[in-house]
Amino acid sequence: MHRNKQDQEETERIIRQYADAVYRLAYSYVHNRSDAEDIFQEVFLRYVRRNPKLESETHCKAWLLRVTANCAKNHLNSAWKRHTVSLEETAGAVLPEEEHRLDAALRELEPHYRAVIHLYYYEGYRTEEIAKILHCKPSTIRSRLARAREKLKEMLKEEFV
Amino acid sequence: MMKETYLKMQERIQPDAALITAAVESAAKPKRRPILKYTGIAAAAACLVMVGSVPVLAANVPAFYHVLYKISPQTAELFKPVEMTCESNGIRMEVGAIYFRENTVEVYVTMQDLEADRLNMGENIVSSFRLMVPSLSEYSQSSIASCNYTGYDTEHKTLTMLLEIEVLHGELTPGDEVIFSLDHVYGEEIHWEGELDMVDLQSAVANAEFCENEELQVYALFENPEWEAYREKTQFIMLKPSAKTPTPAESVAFTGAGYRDGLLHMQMHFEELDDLNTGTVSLLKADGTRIEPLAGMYGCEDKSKIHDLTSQYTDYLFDISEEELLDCRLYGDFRKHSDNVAGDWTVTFTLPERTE
Repeated sequence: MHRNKQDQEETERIIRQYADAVYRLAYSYVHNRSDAEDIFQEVFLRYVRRNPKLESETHCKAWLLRVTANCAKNHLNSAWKRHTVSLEETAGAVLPEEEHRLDAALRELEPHYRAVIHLYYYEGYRTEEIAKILHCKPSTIRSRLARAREKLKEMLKEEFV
Repeated sequence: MMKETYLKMQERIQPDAALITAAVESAAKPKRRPILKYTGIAAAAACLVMVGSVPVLAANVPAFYHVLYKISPQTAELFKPVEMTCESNGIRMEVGAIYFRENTVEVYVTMQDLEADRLNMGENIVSSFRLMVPSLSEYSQSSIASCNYTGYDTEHKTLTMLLEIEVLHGELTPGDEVIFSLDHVYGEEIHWEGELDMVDLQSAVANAEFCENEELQVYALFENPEWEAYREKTQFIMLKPSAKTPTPAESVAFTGAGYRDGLLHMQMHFEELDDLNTGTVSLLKADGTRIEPLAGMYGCEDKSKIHDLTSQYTDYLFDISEEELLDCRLYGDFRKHSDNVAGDWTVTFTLPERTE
């Protein structure tokens, strides 16, 4: 594929701008660094290959996160699964007690619940926007959010607010 | 607060600088992915391509399974082959394989175009499907399901999707029937968002009338969490549509605004519903903050015909005073799909034994 200098510069800008968002969503699914890295590489490889026509930064981010979710789901469906690891092992540091508890609880959640929690609370998307990213109905997203909060409350004995 | 803790935790989760650099360098010179590092993803992708390469005929469903087995015995062990196929509008749909564990079912579904090449729509396709699990009929909202694109085989014009079903209430057992129906596959999304500066909100509010004689019948509602406090005081009566003011979004028009029961109704008209024409409006204040609707009412002239609707009205409800409204502009966010393929595909299959 022939790519000129301008395309390459734009691609580099996109990768650097959205690296954190893509990586964090991937991590929310797989909860380990190694798989998150695989998914990260796959997402930007697809971006380069497909060269999608994206109208705005908002659209670009949503597109990348949608591809991240698809790649993460494919990855989880494959036989080559790694175990989730604690954030302490990932971060290489001892976490404060509160973060340790929350991390342990998140590891108990199923991946698609973690993803919805992440997109809603960290990325700040509305349920309708999450529905578009994850190709689900808004009612499905609301159900997942409610269920994820319920499960976290059971484990943490406090509301996730 | 747990949410604040979560936000703090995310700051620790970042890609290494080396990973980002590697991605940038790969983008500059796309090369083959190292087989060893990406074995998991590459094998799953190869598996999907191989599936598409096998002629999708009922007699070859076992071939699907054997192909899967050759690539990944572990993955093949998880999926059980079934033989379910139907054809409509020159497109054959086939249920390829099922993975049933705990209360979750994953099903690979393929669609092969036997007459043309209509399904090559990119990975952003959306399907309009219905799912019935008769054994769970006593539970309302008993399951959630999604059907997502996983690959396209250009040689055999075959689309592969993964149907995932998660049961929330009740329990699935081997032998339970699942009825999966699909009536549309939608292509690329067309998105428009921006200020609707062609709308004169003040004039619309001044001339508002409501449907006192059910000219429009409310047949559905969407609610945001904040709606709870308003529900009981609201009557489900919609604005009487005024002349359409077209918007830049195709097949979307503004048809009125007005106050009732202390809430502002903002009405939009959507045509071409078969193209999944949807959207929302919000109010943009001068300081840039946005006010989202609390809820929305969907209405039509005759709700006995909602399954054949090609257009509808939606009243978006806001809690905002007339004085505050003076400071606001209307903002729209609309989407629809192109390259739609319609058909009538239905398969019924039974769940195999669970995979441990």
